[in-house]
Order: sequence, then structure tokens, then C-alpha cells
Amino acid sequence: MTPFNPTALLAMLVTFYPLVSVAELQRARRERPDYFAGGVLFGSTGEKLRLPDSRVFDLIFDASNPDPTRRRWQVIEPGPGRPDDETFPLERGPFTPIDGSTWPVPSPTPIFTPLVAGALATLGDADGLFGRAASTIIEASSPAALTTMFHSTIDKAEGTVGSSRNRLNAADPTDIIIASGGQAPTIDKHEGEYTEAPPHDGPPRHVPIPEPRRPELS
Amino acid sequence: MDLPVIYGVIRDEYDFDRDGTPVPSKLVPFFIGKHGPFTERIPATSDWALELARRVAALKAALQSLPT
Repeated sequence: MTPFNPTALLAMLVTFYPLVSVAELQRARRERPDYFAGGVLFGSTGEKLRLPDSRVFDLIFDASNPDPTRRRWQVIEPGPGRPDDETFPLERGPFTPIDGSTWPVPSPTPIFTPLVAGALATLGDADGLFGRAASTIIEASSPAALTTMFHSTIDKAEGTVGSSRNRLNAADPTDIIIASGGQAPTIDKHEGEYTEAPPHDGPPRHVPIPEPRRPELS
Repeated sequence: MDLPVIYGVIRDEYDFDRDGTPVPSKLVPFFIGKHGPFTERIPATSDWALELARRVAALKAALQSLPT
């Protein structure tokens, strides 16, 4: 593994990653892992590097600043005992026990029960209303009416169609075919050019045209 | 002051692109003055040496701009 060199890491970050952000730091870790010597990124925003020998380096100055122009690359090994080294820092001591007497005593007067009772009273006979609505829905959803109508219409239609089909099957169109063949000479006799003269239209009718009138000015 | 560059053993390696296709590259370790090691992976194209020289010059400039 390539030994860790803080100056080389800083020069690399400054040279190839001009935009200072945690995302760019992760990109550098992915693209050039040799500079990080097997270390892992961690911290509240992921701006710190922990090496396999447990050394920790802070790589971004003012990493939580929303203004990216205020951030800059750095490779600084913080000294021991700084609380901001921890991902989840503890509160500074000394700690004071919680005084149980400061907790508010629950009120013996019920608060929510009258509110719920009043709301239920405004609903009135809601159960009866829902029951009637449910009965209407159940009655409307019964298939009895549809079954009755089906038997009275579709079932009868089946018998009617069947009898008509039987009549058609029993019919013999022979006499109709013979009669149609006998009409052919009559049709042929009337075939030919139309030679009748068209009727005369008569003399043209004279329609008098009225003289135009001048408008009267008052 | 011009910092001398000392190169280590250049190795041929393969990186993988997003599709998993192997891409040949050169792994170049080097020192710039007393700083390093730097390690750059450069795509093994015909002008990889030119790209290496460009990166080394940029790193050298960054090193000289850092506060001492």
C-alpha cells in the first residue's frame, strides 16, 4: 500500500478538484485511492479521513458552510481531546440529574372525554343512518331483480328464436325459384333503348317587371 | 526553485469503466522534491507521457503555491 503523505494528498486535491465539497472528496477517494492510503472518510459531513493506523485528518476547512467559496482543502491532524473529533459528540459536563418534581402533574379533570362525547352527540342517530344506508346497498346489490328480468326476457327469446329457426329450416323455396325464372322473359321484353320523345315544355311565360321607385325624401 | 521529479516503476494496469469494460492504464508513482509519493493512473493511450507531464507540472505548481 502506498504510504500516506499529507502534502501529496493536499496538492492532489488542490490540483485536480478545484470545487471544494464532500462530494468531490468522495470522488477523489474513488478516482485516486492511492493518496488516501486505505483510509476511510467519516465525520458529520464526511470530511474527515481515518487511516488504518487510527490517525485522523480533517480535509475540508469549514465543511458545513453553505457558501462553497468559503470552504477550502486542508490536511490537518487535529490534536487529542477535541470534542469535534467525534461523529456524535457528547455534552460537556458536569451533568445534573433531572429533578422529578419539575415535571407537570397530570390534571385530574378529564379533558378529552367531554370533547369526544360532545362530538358524538352532534352526530345524532348516526348508527341508524348507517344501518339504513347499508340495508339499501344490500338490497340494491341483490341479483334477484336481474335474474327475474333475465328469465322473463332472454329465456323467452330463446324459444321464439328456436321456433323461427325451425320454420326457416322447414320452408321450401323451390316454388319461389321457379316463379322467379318465369319472370325472366317479361323482363327481357322490356329491355331496349328508350325512344319515347320528351314532353313539350310549352311557350315561355311573360312575367312583367315593375319599374323601380324613387325613395321619397321628406 | 524547480523541484526535481523522481519516477518509480511504471506498471501497466487495467481500470474498468461504467460498463465494466477493461481500460488499460499506466500506474505512475513519483516524488516531487521531497514530497510524495504521488500516484497517478493515466489511460494508456499514445500520448500518455504527455498527459503525465501535464499532471506533474500541475502538481508541482500546486506544491509551490502551498504555504510552508
